[in-house]
Amino acid sequence: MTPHAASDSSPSNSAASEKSASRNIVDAQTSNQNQQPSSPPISHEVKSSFPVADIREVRAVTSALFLRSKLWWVTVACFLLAFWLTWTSIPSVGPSIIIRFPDGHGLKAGDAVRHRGIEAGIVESVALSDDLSQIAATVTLTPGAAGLAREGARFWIVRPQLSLAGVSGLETAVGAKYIGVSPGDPDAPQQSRFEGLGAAPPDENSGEGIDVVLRSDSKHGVTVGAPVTWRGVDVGQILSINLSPDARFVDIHARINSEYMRLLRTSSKFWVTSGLGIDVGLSGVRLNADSLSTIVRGGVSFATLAVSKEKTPVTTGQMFQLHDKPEAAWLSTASSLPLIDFDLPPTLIIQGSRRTSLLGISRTQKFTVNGVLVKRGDQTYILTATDALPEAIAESTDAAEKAGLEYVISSPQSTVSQTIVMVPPASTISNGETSDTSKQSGSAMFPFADTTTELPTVNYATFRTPKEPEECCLCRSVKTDDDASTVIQSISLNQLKLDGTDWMVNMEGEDLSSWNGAPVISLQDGKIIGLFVAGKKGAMIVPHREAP
Amino acid sequence: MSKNLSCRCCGLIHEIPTLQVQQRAVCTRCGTVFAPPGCRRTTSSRTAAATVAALVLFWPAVLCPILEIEKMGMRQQSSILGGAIDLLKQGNWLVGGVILLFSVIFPLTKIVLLLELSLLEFLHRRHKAASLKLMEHMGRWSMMDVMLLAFLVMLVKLGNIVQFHFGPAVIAFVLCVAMSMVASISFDPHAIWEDSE
Repeated sequence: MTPHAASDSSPSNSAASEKSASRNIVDAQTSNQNQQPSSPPISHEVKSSFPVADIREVRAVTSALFLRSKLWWVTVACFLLAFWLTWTSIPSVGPSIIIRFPDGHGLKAGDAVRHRGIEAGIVESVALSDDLSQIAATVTLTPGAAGLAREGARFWIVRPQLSLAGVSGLETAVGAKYIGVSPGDPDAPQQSRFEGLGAAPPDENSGEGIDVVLRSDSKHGVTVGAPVTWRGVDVGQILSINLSPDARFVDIHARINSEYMRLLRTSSKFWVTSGLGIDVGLSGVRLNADSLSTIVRGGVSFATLAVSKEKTPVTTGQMFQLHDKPEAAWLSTASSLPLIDFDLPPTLIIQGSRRTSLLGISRTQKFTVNGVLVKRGDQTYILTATDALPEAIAESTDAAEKAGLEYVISSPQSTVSQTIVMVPPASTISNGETSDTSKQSGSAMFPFADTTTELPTVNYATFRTPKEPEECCLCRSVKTDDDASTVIQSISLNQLKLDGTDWMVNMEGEDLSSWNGAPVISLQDGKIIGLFVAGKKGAMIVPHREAP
Repeated sequence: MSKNLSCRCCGLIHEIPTLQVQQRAVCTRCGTVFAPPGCRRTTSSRTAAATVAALVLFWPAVLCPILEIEKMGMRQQSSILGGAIDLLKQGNWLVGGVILLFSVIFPLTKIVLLLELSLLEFLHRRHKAASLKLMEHMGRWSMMDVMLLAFLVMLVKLGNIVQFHFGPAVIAFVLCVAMSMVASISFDPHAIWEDSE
């Protein structure tokens, strides 16, 4: 404001700016004098030779405060941005683990750990162990893959594998190696040090299942990774092949995948399907080969010969004999054996005779119908198809027959057979034991007076009311001369058609009359969901309804 | 009431007449407008704002990964500081030192000095002059903008050979360069003396 202030500012100005500034001042002072005449007259207050600055009108004066605050907003935005950028670029890291491998196979820092084809971690460093016998790879897992660092996880270095049986890990031939991982039990405790495997475990691709040991006198050309087949379908894999501890046998460890576990029973027989079988005989040359894969890798096939009723489950590590070739009998037995996981209900065979009259000549005709003896509470009922019975009643003229017919009820599961006089269903309606609808539908429950019967019964708890048609099977007992067996007939969903409350069964060209009265068993839970009736309306399933 | 002021552009000293609200003094020789007293405080504030923004962005720009190169499955992330340190570790003392000096140390010094001059004013007046000089010399050698150009060249040249992505630091870097440029443009060396009068 004062001349002193002005003189104070100019030297410091010149000091602050470049050296030319001082020369500028000199220039300014010289030009000052040149411009003196043209400049307007100096105000009289200040005695100086400086020119008076021109005055220019400005239209809008921007608010100083506004300008000041505007840029500070940018600063705030930059601050937030910087914070966000830093936040995003902080690598989110999971646990760090150390894996020891017998061989590095060229693994380098920066290589990935991959699980199911995506990156689950990164190799931070690779170093030799102290005794030079191993390498130790320090791996940082991604946070999402932290669950891999649990006890039981197995790591291996993926490298290209080229063999007759297949090619794998080809991407690692040219690109970077990576560490494959097979996670352990999700409930296992956390672990940070792992022993890596030398090669990929053979069961890496085979998921859950049951492991069994096949004992054989020779390897028979079976190789690790070879398939275990059931009727030609791959149901498992060979995991490892070792000599038995006493070196007398070859122990082949095989895994049967979980969805096929039910095929494996204690009665299962295993045989080798490896290679080519050539029979040269009079009829010519026969060439047997399962598939190209089994020719190269070998393979094991199995069949189950019997479904044990006591249901002893096959446990992990159970030993089976591995045969070098199947016996013809196994194949035929196995092909006729249904494999279902539940107990089939014992069924009855109800035999009776009915009198039919044709053109005035009446004759007695024997008939057989299936049925189930149902135990509900204290009472026992016979569940069977009504179709065969009332007909016989209606046409009988005999008074004794009207009161009831004699039936022989037997069960192949029991040696006992019983002759009962059964009250025909026409009169049981008034009894209130059988509902009207169930009679019309063709199935009926007859009270069975003898509660001390030795015949096998089915508990009412094994019945279920189905909501809609489902996959099911029929079951009946067959008695041959020396053996009793249960045969089943499976009915798939597309063979069923809903007709009112009943399910019509459309089995083209098949005579299902021998199944009349057979219980219908759900393939889902093995419960009885109805009764099969082959009557006048045709083959149909009468679904079970909750009886009062 | 008037005072003498030297023109910011040509250095000619003028006598400033008393001004109305909508009037500005203009240099008779070069036509440069003499900033009114309040306006100088404003420029100082703008410089400070831009400098603070640049300083805040400087750290993510230098420390965050700026480049992620992927070649045949190998992935490498590097930040400016990390890259310079790697170069030094590998024995490239010259290149590493130059990068470290010109794109980390000098820009940071410049920003800090600008901040000091425009906002903080911790130093005594005598040191202010020294810091101003230092700032002007440093500013000439802070080469962040050149680095940005180098990245652009790389983008054009390497695009076909390796796969690479820019990291989050690039945004911070670009903005940091922009903000420090704004700061040095709006910085008025004359303004720093005004308050101390």
